[in-house]
Amino acid sequence: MDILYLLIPLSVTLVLFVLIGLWWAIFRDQFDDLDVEAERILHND
Amino acid sequence: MQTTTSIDPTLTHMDDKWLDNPDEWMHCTTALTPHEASKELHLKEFKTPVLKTKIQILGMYCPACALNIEDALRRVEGVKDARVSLSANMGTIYWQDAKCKPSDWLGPVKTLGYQAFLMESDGARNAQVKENKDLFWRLCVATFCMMQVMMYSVPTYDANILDLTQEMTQLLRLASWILCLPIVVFSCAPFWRGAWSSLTHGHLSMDLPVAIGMAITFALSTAVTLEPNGFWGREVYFDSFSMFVSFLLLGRWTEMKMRHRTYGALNAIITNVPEGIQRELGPGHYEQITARRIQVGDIVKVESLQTLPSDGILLGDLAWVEEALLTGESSPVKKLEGNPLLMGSTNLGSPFRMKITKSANDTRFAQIIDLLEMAQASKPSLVKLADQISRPFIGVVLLMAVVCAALSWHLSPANALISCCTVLIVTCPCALTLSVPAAILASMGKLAKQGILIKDTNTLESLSHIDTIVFDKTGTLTESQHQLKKIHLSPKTLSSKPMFLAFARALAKGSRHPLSQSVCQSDFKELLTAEEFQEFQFIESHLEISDRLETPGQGIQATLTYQNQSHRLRLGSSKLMDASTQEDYSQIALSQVHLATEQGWLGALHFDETPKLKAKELIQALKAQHFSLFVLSGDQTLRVHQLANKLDLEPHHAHGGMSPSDKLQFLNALQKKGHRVMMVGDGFNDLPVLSGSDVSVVFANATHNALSVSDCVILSPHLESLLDLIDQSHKTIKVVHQNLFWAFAYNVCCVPLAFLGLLSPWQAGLGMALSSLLVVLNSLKLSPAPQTTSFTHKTTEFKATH
Repeated sequence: MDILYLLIPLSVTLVLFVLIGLWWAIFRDQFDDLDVEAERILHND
Repeated sequence: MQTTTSIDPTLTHMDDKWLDNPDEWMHCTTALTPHEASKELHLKEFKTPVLKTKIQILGMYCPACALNIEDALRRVEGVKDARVSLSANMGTIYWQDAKCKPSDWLGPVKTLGYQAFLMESDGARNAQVKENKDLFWRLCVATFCMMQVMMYSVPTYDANILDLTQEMTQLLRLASWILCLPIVVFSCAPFWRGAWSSLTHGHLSMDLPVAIGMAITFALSTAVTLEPNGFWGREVYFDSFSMFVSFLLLGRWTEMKMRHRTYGALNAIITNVPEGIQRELGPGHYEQITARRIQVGDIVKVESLQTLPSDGILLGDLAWVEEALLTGESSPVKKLEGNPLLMGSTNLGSPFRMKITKSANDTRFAQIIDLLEMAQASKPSLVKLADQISRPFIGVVLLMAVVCAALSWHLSPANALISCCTVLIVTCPCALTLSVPAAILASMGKLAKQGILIKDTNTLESLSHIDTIVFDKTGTLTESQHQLKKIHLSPKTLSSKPMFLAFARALAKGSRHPLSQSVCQSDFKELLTAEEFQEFQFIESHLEISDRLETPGQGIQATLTYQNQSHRLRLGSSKLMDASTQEDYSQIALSQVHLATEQGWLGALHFDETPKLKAKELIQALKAQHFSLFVLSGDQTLRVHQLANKLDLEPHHAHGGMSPSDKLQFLNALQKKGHRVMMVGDGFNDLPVLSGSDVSVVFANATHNALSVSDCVILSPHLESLLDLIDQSHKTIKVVHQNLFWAFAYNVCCVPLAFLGLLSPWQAGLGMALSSLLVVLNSLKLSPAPQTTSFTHKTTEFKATH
């Protein structure tokens, strides 16, 4: 079970990385207009 | 596709060339270097700089609208890219100055049937975006950390299953503690701030018990982590803590989203409809500019029916203005040279010049807009009720928590603190305080999506008490476009048909009254032969009109000059005419408008009208719901009775020949009998009636002033929207009652349990979060979002068991 000493700190770091990714996405306006972007793929150019 | 009928048809077809002046668009434009532009647009390097301009777009209802506008914009030569945001009613256009002008890309948007303006100011919008991102980011941090903390906590719930050693448990706790740090420091910040201001200002807010509960739970768990099996016992509560915070933030974020969505659409319409205005450069020489650029000391020309851009003084001899928005008085006010004029009033007479004396921000109008914004933030009386109940409640909760801790302190301090927290958390009245705003905001959001705008939050409440509905006839129950069917010339006068029609049309031009508009738009094919029509066109092009004065509800007066002969003419209902000059034509059962000179009656124009599509169904549906219905109109009684017959209305409920003040008296009489009255109108000649009713509803072709005095504006032309509105108001009140009942029942049941120590903090956290979430989800069944159907279903089932 010693592997837990590695895996648990690793999972904590992973969460922090996920948060950094999320921060990037939110503040790069990725979540600003969910309605239009969802429909764009169905729209003929 | 649904589009709004534009407020003034002449505005949309107005030549936009004057907007090409850089002074007009500079304030909403940023210049991007070729490098920045290619980065932002993900395109190859540009050679010339790209301009990025923000515009405001009104009339979008669905994502497809936004995409269609984007397509139209991209097709314009010189426009590199365009992004349109539905939720913000806004568009961003990337364009090159050398290849196109603003008028080139504003035109296509207007052609599609939307209203487009250069952005005036997006201060409020920016603040909303910032608030939204901030809260969303706090919610994300709390939620992701919570998920991982749960991962670490579940194995420790029963140490025997995984055979965890003491060290392993300690490791898991440390990991949980680390992930709770961002929650404490960042996600909880709004609660700390709220609690602090609650303490310093000496009033009890919901944040206080919540923050105390959070602080104690986290501090206790930290102490146990640092010193296991010490003074504070063995249990940690990181799981309860993180879950509690994320559910609370979820509730707040949902509420904020709904608030923004509703008010966004509303604000855009009330405050941001800029119009161009003529500024005098020299004698007889004018340039068109946006109202934003007007400065103190400028001399501007105010066209007929235009809204005054700022406060000032009159330079001409005489002007007639309507100041209904500022004084509530809807009859025209006479102004003489040098008299003060108020921003936001409307020029009812002929064009005049005025000198600006105040900047637009210092005017009474600006104060009224501020008041309007404050009214939107105002809490409906039901919310106030919930607040009043919850405030002493918070005091009681805090007291109980202290008593609870004091009673069991001697047994075990750790347990005492935890049951204290449990009491604090479980009784948190957030379900109570959320119950009303969540329901009302969800409803407003849904209605806004259907094109029904509600001005203040009390309206839905008043709507549900309505038992009487009063309709205006023209433009509301009937098509606003009447067909001009016949003209009837007085045998005494010698004027020909073409001349008569040319005179009538000249007077009607510029009026927003439905009958005038129909005169202007008619091609007279049924009335004139081809030769007569040519004569008509000739006369029309040689007419000069001056001193035009429109009296709402009665008619129009003006002086017409044709072949050096001046006539003072009147066009309007029989009331505007002197009784002596008029022959008795009331037997003719058609809407009629008379034309007369000072010497005598010239003749009448007869109109036929058709009831609106589904008007009969609407009346039947409303009757089935036991509303008493009335039709009031300025038209002749016979005409109104005919319509009532067509629509299956009792004739004694249909009254004709009523002036705006008659209508108001009628309404007040109904109210004195104890009826709650809803007035449905088109907002032109019934401003006083609209403001006198309990709830006023105005249909799409509303004028600016109607928007400011009515409680609801229905932008779609479909009458069924009225049923939706009434239905939605009843649903809302039902949900509000369910919410209040549930929030009370929950608190009444859980407080004794927590007090007796029968609940652990995680159960309390779950209970509190679930009760708030239930209230929010129950409210969401009022909102249109399809993804919530499954939740709604469960909530309804739950309600059914109660």
